[in-house]
Amino acid sequence: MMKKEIITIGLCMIFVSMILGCSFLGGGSKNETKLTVEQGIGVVGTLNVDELNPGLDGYISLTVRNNLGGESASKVYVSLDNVEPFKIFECGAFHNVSSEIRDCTGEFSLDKYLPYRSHGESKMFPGQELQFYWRLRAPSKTEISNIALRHPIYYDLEYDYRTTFTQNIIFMSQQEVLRRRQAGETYQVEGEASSGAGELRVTGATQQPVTYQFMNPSDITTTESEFPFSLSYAVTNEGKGLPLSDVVVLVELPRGKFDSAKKDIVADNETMSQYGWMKFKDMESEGTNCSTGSGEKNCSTWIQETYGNEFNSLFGTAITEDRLLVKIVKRTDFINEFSLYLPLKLVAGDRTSGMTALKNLQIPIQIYGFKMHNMYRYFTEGSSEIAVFPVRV
Amino acid sequence: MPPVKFFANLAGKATKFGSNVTSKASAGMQKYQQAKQAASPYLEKAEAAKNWVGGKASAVKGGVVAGAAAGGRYYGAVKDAGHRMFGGLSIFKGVGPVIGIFLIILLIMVVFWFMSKGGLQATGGSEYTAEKQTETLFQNVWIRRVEDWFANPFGVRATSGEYEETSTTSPTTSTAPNQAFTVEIKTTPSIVQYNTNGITAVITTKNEGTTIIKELKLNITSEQPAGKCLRFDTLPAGCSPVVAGEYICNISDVYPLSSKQLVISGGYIDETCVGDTFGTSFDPAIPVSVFVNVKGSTYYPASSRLAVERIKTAYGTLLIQNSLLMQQQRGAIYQTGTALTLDMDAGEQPILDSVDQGGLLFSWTNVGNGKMDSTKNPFLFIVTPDSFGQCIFQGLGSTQYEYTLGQSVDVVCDNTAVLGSKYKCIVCDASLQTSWCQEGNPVYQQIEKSAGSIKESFDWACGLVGNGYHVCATNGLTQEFGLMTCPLVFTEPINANRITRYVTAVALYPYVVEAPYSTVQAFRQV
Repeated sequence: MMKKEIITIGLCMIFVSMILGCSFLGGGSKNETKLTVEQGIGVVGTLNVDELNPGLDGYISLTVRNNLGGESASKVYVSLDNVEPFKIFECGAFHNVSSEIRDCTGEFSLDKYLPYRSHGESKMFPGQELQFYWRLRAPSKTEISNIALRHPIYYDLEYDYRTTFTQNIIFMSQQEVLRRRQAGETYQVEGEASSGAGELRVTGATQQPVTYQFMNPSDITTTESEFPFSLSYAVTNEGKGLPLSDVVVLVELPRGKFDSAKKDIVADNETMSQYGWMKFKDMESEGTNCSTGSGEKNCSTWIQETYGNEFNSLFGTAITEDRLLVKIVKRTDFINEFSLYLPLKLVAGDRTSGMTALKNLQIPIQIYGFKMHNMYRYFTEGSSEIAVFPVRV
Repeated sequence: MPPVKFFANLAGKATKFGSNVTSKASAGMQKYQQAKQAASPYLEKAEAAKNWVGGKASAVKGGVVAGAAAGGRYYGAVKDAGHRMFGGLSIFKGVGPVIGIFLIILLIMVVFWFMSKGGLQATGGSEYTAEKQTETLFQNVWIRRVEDWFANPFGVRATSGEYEETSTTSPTTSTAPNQAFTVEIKTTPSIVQYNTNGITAVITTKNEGTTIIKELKLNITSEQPAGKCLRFDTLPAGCSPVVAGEYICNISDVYPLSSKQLVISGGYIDETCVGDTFGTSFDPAIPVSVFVNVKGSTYYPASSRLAVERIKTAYGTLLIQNSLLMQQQRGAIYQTGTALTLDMDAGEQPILDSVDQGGLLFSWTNVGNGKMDSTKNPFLFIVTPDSFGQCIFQGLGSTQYEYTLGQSVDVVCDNTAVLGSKYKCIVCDASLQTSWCQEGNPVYQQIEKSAGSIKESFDWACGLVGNGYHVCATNGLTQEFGLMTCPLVFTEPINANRITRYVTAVALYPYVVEAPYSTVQAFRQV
């Protein structure tokens, strides 16, 4: 074998060893922390002292990550619960933690005026990771009387979160369905859907294609009748916690396909109100209140606060054009999952909108995209135990 | 051959090769002879491969050499293919076959990796089972060693324990024995003549628990059939005769898990005593067995702590509705390294704060090799937070000088001579402070003798009265095991979502441990 070949083989072997060595070791680690797609914000790491001797200090920390595939979270609060008889060291001293309020700025943006056992951050961007930690002092030997103590400490995590579910709904004319059947082609087609991260998982349950029928298919001089249909969604709590607030569901209706100034799809006020839906504008004017997880608040204000600067860019046009519908699902009504049913209709329209346009333009398949936004405050809890064992002499 | 097809073929062959080698190492043996020939130009490589895996077993050897042989065949094919593929390019001139080998190695590694992930164990049932099967399989085949080598050719790969996630440490006291102390006696020689001072008794006391024994009493005597006929005319310091043939020795400061020995020499078997025991049937020429017995007794402590977790009703209900409320482990953490297990239970937890009454079930069991000393009083202190109220065991009165056992009898609860055997008392808070916690009180004096952590616990309990706690003390632990119940009231409002308070039980129990008999035979030489 030539010297050149030997050297090349050697280099290849080293390269392969390094690459695969890394991959084997990486795969074997049990410390890998990932968020599943269901999670909005998750605790990806905890550091707990398992055991402390009386009077000694230890750290407890939580690493919290906002799922990269999700959206920004706001008002993220992490609290320890059931900390007594441990004390927390902060602001230069040890504190009894049941109700004492922090008297220094704290490390995170919302820390001030929170109890020592809590930390708060106003906003977390997707992919962002924060580490919250507390320095705890174990009760003294006298306090535990030299008798072992195994104390459960809980952590609570709560945050405002929002998710977006986008779905293209396929509308197909009756004629097209018949044609496909006769031609042996499939007519059961579904539009694609996409969903971001978040504990409340939305799945589209609308039967597709939505098959519309013209009253006078061959007469293009007449205006067609409107065609009612409905959208269905299933919302499931896939997380390990619970929504603390009401769940706000916003559905953005598509603009007109043929003339963007006109609407192809609208909701009938009376029909949709039977299912708890209303136009966003109406909700604003009525001053509807929502349970936000930290008290009652005007829904519109709460939504705008949660979306912040993005509110106008996301919903401004839809509100102006009256295409934004809203439903408030009460927290008390939501145990683990709920279904949403939204009655809509394809308007009769004219030559450039709705059913009439579909007929006149002889369009067999039309796709309309619907965006659904969910907004809620979510809460999860976890726990750990710290044992305090006396030093025996 | 188009490159895609070429690589597809190559991948297929390599996968098949990897699969065969893994699952049928024995097949390698059969191929060994064929392979050896085919691999002759590459035997050097095969030897190197053998060294990697440390393959001593013939199957392994066969597998490796077969692998090398197969590699050789593929090498040849690849060499040709490589020449065809890359030969036209000057920069690959002479290197084409090398790249081919590299690709084969890469593919084999991918197959190894795929198998290590359980990729070929798809029918293994649950994910866990499949993983376990894969793991077991890999532990036993040479391929695992090769994998290990590739994972870490420099041999510094962490063992599984080294990169395990932070594990929960079990309590350090969990391995401590459930004993207080043991006593052992050895006498030498085993046979003596009557009235001859030649017996030496070595008594070893070992503190098996986790608390220092400040004072331990040893009662040394001999038993039937010869009666109390072992005599010691001279006794070491700390020992004294009780009656003829019965001696008491005090030893002090036996530290946890350590032993102390007491040696008493110059003992003899009193012939007159034995003769009196046997009466007219006594024949001094026939050896008589004398069983030497020792009993150790002391006060030993036991303690236990029960966490009672309460939760805000609104919060708890929310968790319950969402099936998120986790039940807490029931029962108390009790101290090991003692012979008495004290257990407590306050029922299902956490308890909603709308529940304002609960109950405490207290039970105790002697798990040691000795017995509770029925001639002395055990003391149990139950410390409850102010917000739980006093734990007054059912059937017992709430103040000093009250009693159970049927009719009213005036009995003083600090009469230590009476309490243990006849009456059960319970004294709480102020009554406790003005009685058992007073220095001149007989109970206090009895405890004081024990000193060490026993007295510490006693003082601790007495000191808690009025400092946010209720303390009740009883002498009710008079059996080897039993249970008592007391009501708890929950009055404390919860500031956070949850709150945990502790009920603590400390027992100071009189304990007797008997040593196995030691035998001495005595006779008169005629």
